Amino acid sequence: MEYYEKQIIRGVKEGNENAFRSLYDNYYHRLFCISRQYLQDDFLAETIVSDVFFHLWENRRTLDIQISLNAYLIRMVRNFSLNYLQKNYVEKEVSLNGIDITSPLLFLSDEYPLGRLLEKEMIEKVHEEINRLPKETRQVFVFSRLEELKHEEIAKRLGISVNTVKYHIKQALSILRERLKEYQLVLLACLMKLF
Amino acid sequence: MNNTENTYYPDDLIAAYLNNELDKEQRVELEKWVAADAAHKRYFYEMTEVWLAAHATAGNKEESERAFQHFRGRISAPGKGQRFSLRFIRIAAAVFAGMLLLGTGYYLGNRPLDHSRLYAMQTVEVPMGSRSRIVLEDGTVVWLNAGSKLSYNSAFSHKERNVQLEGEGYFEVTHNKKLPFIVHTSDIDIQVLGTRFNVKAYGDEENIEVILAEGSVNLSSPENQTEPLTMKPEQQAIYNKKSGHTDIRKVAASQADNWTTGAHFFNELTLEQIVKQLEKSFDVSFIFRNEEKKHLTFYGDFRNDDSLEDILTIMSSSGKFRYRKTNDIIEIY
Repeated sequence: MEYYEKQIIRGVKEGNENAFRSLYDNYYHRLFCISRQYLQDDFLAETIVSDVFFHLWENRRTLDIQISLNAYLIRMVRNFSLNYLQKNYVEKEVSLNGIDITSPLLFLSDEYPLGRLLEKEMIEKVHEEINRLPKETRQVFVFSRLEELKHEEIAKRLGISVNTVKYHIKQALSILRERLKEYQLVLLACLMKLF
Repeated sequence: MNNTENTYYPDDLIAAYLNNELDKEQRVELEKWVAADAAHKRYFYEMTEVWLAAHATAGNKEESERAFQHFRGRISAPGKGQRFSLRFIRIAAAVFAGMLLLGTGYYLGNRPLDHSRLYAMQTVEVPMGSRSRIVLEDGTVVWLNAGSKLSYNSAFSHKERNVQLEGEGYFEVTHNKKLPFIVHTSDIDIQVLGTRFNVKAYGDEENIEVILAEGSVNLSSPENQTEPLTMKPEQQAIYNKKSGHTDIRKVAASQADNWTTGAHFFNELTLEQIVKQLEKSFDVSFIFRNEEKKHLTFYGDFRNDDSLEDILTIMSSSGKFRYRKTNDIIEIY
């Protein structure tokens, strides 16, 4: 574990405000993204991440983190999100009277835990691969994912059609998937045994 | 299609799914495809993972700072499990420009100066069970809690800035070096240049309490003629009327105006902003089933001992939205 992480964990145990502030600065966004991917809802995701930090605060004295802080937080967020889905999702489906099995159910099992790349400290790698994308594809992808612009906005800014925007996004995903795959394969190899 | 395997990969659908653009039919189609084969599922998962990771590399400071402040508020709340509960007083869907006074206080701010009334005392009284927000002529904002009274001279903001307070008031004083702002209570005076602070000086309570959120204030007791006491931010001064003694303790700055926000004044707030407040107060989650409802605007004034159900019932009685509550999840549609 890095020195930096150890410092933070010690601060967290002591209930030091600055330690929690750096947790937020460094991890909040990725945790929020993971939770949102599960819950498909900004409000809920914010609440879950807030709950995780609050849980950390309340249990700070007995905290025992063996893995990296990053992996620890991601697992917590994943567990909290899944718990939430398990507790609430079925009910919602029934009450909505609908047949559409919305996506979070796909991730309800541990089979495909979201956030693996992030847990493996892959942010740098992902960044790197995004930078290696062909120029136009990269531009579109950055506008879409990092700046969360709508397709129409991107099209307008770059003077291309919405369909072209869509094409580049698909392209970016495919390329990134291919390039990041080797890292995922390691992770997925053990999963394959399940089938 | 950018794949080597001999399978059809619905990249269009996946990209649309990730971008939250699928309609119902497309969603069913995608779900069928994903469910059909373990390899499909893995492919779908990998795309989702890439998408997620790419997004997580971004992130902005504002967002995490806001979340952190929320967290701070949460851990500094006195006593775990304490929740604000609210009681409805009035909700006005009417929109009008300028100030809106809720409760039954009298609004006096921005009134043109009437020279015949110069030096006449003006008083704002707030009855029990309500609250009032007023803006004084110098731009200072005062929140008055239930059963409070604020008086000031008509010369206020021209020659001096003296106010007399009975009860509880939260002040956001505009800065003016030349004219110090002085809050007179039964026993002590609070002198400031420009800052935010709360004064609690009810006649039937044995203490007078001052919480300073920002800047600095001087406390003095005209009778005792002692050295003025200078408070620092995030301090609470508790003056005992009997002993004349003042205790200082550290508190969160948010405690100064907790009651004002806890009271849930929805003063031209969108439903999106309102539900955020309610979520914090009641530890529930809201889901908008209809995005358009986020932008509805409400005026409302709720007291802090009413239930969430009451607030929702009253707000939805406008017919502008409907809601369904399942455990701690409230869906707005």
